[in-house]
Amino acid sequence: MKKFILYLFLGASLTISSCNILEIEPTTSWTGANLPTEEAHLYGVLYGGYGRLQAALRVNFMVYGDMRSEVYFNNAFNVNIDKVVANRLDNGMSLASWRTFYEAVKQANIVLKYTPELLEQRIITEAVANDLMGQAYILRAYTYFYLVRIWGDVPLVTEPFLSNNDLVPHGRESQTKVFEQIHRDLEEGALMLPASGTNRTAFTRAAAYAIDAHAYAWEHDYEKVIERIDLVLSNSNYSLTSLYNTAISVNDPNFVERVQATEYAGIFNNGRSKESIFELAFSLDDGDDNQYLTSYLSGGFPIVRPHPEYAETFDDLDWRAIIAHRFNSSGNYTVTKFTIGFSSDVDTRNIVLLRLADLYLLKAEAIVNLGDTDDDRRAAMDLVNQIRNRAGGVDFEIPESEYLDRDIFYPEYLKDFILEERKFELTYEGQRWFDLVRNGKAIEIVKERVGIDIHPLSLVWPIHIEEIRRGEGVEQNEYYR
Amino acid sequence: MKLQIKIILCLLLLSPILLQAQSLSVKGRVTDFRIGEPIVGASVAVKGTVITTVTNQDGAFSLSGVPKNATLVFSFLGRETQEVALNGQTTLNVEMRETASNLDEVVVIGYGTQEKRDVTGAITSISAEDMETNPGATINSALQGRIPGMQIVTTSGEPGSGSNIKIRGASSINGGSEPLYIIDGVPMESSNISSIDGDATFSPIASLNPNDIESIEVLKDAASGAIYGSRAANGVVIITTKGGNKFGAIRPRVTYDHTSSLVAVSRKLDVMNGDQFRTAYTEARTNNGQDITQLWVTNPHHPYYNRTTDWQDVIFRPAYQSRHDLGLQGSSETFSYGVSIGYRDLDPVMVATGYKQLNMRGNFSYKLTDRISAGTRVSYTNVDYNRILSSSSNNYSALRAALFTNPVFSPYDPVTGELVDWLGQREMRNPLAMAEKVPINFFQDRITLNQFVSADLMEGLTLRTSLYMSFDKTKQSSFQPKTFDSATPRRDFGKFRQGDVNKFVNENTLSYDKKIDKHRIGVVLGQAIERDFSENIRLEGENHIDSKVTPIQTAARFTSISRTESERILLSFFGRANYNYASKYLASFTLRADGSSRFGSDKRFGYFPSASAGWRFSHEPFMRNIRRSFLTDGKVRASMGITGNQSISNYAWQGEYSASSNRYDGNVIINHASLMNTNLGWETTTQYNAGLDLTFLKGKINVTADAYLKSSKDLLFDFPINYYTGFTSVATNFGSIENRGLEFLIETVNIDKKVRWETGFNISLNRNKITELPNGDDILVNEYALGRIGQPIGVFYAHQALGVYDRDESNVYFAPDGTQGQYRRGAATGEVFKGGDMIWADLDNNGVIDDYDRLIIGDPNPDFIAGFTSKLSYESFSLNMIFYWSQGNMVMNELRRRRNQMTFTGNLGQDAMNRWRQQGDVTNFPMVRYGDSMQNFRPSTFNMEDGSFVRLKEITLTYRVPSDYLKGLFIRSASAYISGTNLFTWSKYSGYDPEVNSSTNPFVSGVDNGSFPKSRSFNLGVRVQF
Repeated sequence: MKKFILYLFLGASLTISSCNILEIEPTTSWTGANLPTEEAHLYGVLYGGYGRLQAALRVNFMVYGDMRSEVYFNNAFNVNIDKVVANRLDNGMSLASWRTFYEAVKQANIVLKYTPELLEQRIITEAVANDLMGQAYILRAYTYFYLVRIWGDVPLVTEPFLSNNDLVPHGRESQTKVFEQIHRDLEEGALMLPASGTNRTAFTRAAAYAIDAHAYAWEHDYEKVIERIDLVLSNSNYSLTSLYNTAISVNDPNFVERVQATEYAGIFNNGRSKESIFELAFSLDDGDDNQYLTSYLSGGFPIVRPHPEYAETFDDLDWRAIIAHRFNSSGNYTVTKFTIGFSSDVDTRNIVLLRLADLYLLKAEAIVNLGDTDDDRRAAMDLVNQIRNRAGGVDFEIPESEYLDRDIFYPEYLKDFILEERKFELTYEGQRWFDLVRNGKAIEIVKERVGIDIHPLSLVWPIHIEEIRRGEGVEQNEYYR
Repeated sequence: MKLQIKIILCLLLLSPILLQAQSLSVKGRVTDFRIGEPIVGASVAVKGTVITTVTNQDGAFSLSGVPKNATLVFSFLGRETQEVALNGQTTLNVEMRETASNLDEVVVIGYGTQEKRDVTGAITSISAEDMETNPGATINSALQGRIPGMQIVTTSGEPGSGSNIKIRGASSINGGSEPLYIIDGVPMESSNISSIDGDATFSPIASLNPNDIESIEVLKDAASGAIYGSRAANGVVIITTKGGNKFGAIRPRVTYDHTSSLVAVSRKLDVMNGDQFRTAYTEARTNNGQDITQLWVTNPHHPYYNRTTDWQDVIFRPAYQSRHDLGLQGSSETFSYGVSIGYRDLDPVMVATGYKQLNMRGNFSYKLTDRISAGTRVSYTNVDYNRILSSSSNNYSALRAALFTNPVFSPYDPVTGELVDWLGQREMRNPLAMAEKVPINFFQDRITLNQFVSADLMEGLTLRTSLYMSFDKTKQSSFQPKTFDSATPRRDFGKFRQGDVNKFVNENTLSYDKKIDKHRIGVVLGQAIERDFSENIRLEGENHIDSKVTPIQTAARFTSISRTESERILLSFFGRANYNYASKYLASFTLRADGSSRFGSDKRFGYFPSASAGWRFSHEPFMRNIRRSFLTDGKVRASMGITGNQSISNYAWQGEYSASSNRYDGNVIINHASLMNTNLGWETTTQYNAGLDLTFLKGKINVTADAYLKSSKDLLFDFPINYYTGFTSVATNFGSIENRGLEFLIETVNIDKKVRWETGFNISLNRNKITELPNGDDILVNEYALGRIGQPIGVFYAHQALGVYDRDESNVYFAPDGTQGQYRRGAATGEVFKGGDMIWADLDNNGVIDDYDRLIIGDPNPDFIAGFTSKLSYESFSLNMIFYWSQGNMVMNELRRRRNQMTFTGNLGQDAMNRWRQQGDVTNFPMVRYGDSMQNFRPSTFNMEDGSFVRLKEITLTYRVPSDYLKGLFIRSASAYISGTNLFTWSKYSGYDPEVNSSTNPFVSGVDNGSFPKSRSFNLGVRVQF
């Protein structure tokens, strides 16, 4: 009986002490309660945001940015790409899902929520807090900028969802509201980061201005565009790389190789050039590979090839074409811009999303949209000529006598000319479709050059069917209903 | 009266002395009634005395000191008990008959045992002899068709794979419809292990050797299961292994079992030949507005392309499988043991694969003192499996290759006849070469240790403490050599994954059992703690310096490296009280409290009570006459109780941030991986059960009937949420489900002469419906598995196909306002359906075929499931059969749908020969179009098929060698059998097998994505006991 009492006692004491043993926290990950509590956590989450943006754009920068325009044809019968190139989008395509973009927004929102808290607790310094928040604001704004350009009105999420209680339905917010948020975020972000920032694979103040310029251009607020771009042009960290060089002769047997070894080619193939404002970093060491660059563009059987009619619009004097693509004996073209010196199909290249030449031409576009005085033309074409000079030397510039002649360069033609110049300069860089839509030319040019009809309501993408089915308040874009 | 009893008692005690003078020595032999074989171990007792003995190896017994006119009682498990009056005889030979049911049979229940007659819950048992004979037999395959109310769908024919099990319908959703397995008293970790390429899952239950099993009890109602509380909502399967259970002098017995089998896929599908496919492919391309440039189409006579290969013949093969089991069992008064070793060689029916499983087990119990006994159980399992990719969703999977590979290719070079790595001119990988040259290995080691000590503190009061540990290590690796890579220069890929799962269980119980007159009281009080810990290491790399020896450090580049841990603890307190009066009035109460680390502090503990009662009305005085003549035993019983479910991931309520194996620009990435849910709590199921057990004609007919109502609420579920949250789902409690059903089991002895024929038939009907959903909204779990209030879970919600437009002009739509137009796809601006496209039901009659035109088209749940068993014996021969029948369940044939969509170049079935080809064709099969841009092959009635089937699961003919032949051979008994497994399936289903479920999500059932087909086997076996 004594034993029995002893056991009973043992059992009871076990019971009392046992309640704590059910408090288990993960040992190889963090819970919602114990992160972020340190500087390193916040940076981890921020880089997670870059990682999600990378995932969203690693191949889709060209799918969303180029493939609906006149650039490519479907070469390998990839079913989804076929639908994009033919502008026959449907709501079942995985490309219609914005999931990865919102994962980037999610990460940014976490940083923006917790950084002020950690600052208040003096766990991080103000400099660190500014660095974190500045980047997170820009990351969020840039992601939203892609979202509105692709889908139009989108849910505007600016607070992180932390628990199931936060799951209140978000409807789609008007583009105006989203743009207000984008501008606000970019202004905040720009000011938090130093003017002297030199990083090109993370967001900087200059990147904020560049994105903002593009956002204003999308809204046709050209004065703001110029204002923002000037803030970048005045930054000595950014300057144009060189391309055309009289020292390289066209008759040189190694002409092509030498052109492809220029600074300009290095923008895309070496990365972190002086012209680059923001690029997504890819590296084999990070666990990335860029096999999609070859499988989409240049491998033995690329998924897409540029239309010969498109490739042939490049001028013979334009050295950019030598870097952009290669004419094959079989009569087709192969895009080479991003894969010069690829050591293998899986080699990596940073993806340059914002660079100085883009801003030169965007500013020119803004100027001619604001006025058509001779001074306006000079200001705009001076920028264009700097870009053309780099591409083909003085001979490739448009002389003032010509561009001031309104019989040749009548106002619409001037705008078209600048748009075409953007095409040559930024070809295959995921800009063309957005340029066309921004300038209201998408329907006209795609019809004229590749004969595909695009309904005005289908300039936006469908929202993925799963999102509609799950969503309270998420309505499908009208064309796809 | 009392005085009389006392006197009798005194007399009885003194009787051995008093009666010595007139006592006898009795000897004799106990044999089987039909075949005359000796019965070993039968108990022979002198009625009213303590004199008892057991028959020996020859069935012989001898007793001394037996009163002259005593009555001897012969009893043995599974035999009718016989009483024989001695009438002065000294030699007594007795023949015992088999019974269909024995109420003295002991049933294992949670933390104890009970005699069958005293059971008040819904429990069905099966024994070792019900296990199937083929080497690939599993516990689940043995249970299928034998347990009313238990629906078992084997997900794949791959060795080691698991099954989808529903006991009394689906009552939970989150991957947790599996019952709780209790093996020798210890809960088994039942989470599946996924393969390294994610194409298959392996069930831990498969690591158990079916030959080690003595009995399986399935606890179906809440009253039986509630003692297991938080995990019993889906029922409990209690497995008892052989040996080491009972004390008593039994000589060592060595048993050897062997089966050899020839195994092959049970069915091949009809696919197109080379020319047929070339034509269809050309049409598909043209219909999609594409030119045909493929060389295999344009050069049909090129030696690379002029073949017709049915790739099923290349990938599938007949295989030889075998098993060997060696066991030793015996016991003494203080020591009982059972040791076994089993080896299974289960080469799958796909080329270049091999599966070997080794099982060892030792069960020992021993008495330390009169009052203290202890037991040790150890087991070891090793699985070594060389496999190939087997899921149809993976492009390089062998199964997919068997059906989809372009028939114009040959796996061998047309000139040299050598196996080529790539087909044609590097157009696609050769699946046969992939199978042979890409090693994928699965290796598992599992050790379990179980030690218990029990002490009788005083009469009837026992304290038992047990400690259990298991160590499970899984190592998986795969290596794809450079030759199969499509990149330039080519790379190789190596993957390695190691998973360790450790479990620790400590249980302490105090039980009290006392019989006072006719009152019998049993009480159990207990406390348990259970800890599960798992660790996963993943190492992946590229470009190894060598293609044979490929540790991760030889890779030029690491592509993914990660290590994760996970832990959970369950702390429990429980109690049960049983009471019965003369085994006539029965009652039982249980209560369990479970605390789980999976939930937040205020939701942590769940309380699970139950109560049940039974009445053996047959033993009331007023039934006396009926009982004598007709109804041997009758019992009604009723129970109610609450059980739970905690199947959600370990840290679900806390939310998770996890580090990615990738980096950004050299920096570590932390992703917000899941949302926190502090409200997350137990899922609970309340179940009511009413049952009736009847035994007629001394066990010749046994009937069991049960009716139940089961309502589950706060279902644990990873609920799908909008992508704009940055997440895809959140762990939550949502909604309620109700299951109600009826179960019948009837077992009869139809003939009991020299020929004995027993049959068993069971049928169960379950009706499932959703009774509550958040805000009452519908929920779609995959593309078409719908949850809607009032409907069964996972009904198919899709479009209704009405036929195929014979020509473009046939598409005419009359709008409600009288105008005429044409039906369009997706939107008012969408494309117009043309000749050859599917005609769809336009439910809202708006001329647009879109999401709003979907309706419930079918139910994957069967109307009923049934099983039929038959045992026919004549002399030394016996013939056993088991049939399984599932009626009225619909199957979505995704495999067929996917290939008809032609999103890649994959062969089509013969049914596509009826396709629409040109204007005016009248058919019900739409045109083929590459990419299916008009979505003619969207989920719809066109792809849904009736999955009803009847299967002859197994037929076995056994010959038992008469013992006379074995005299002097040191062989105690021997038998041989031939059998066939999965020999016939009667079904209209067009896929490999109507018994299919590719989904591991219980919400989604009846989906055929194509999985490792089940095989048919012909078996030859022997069983010898020394």
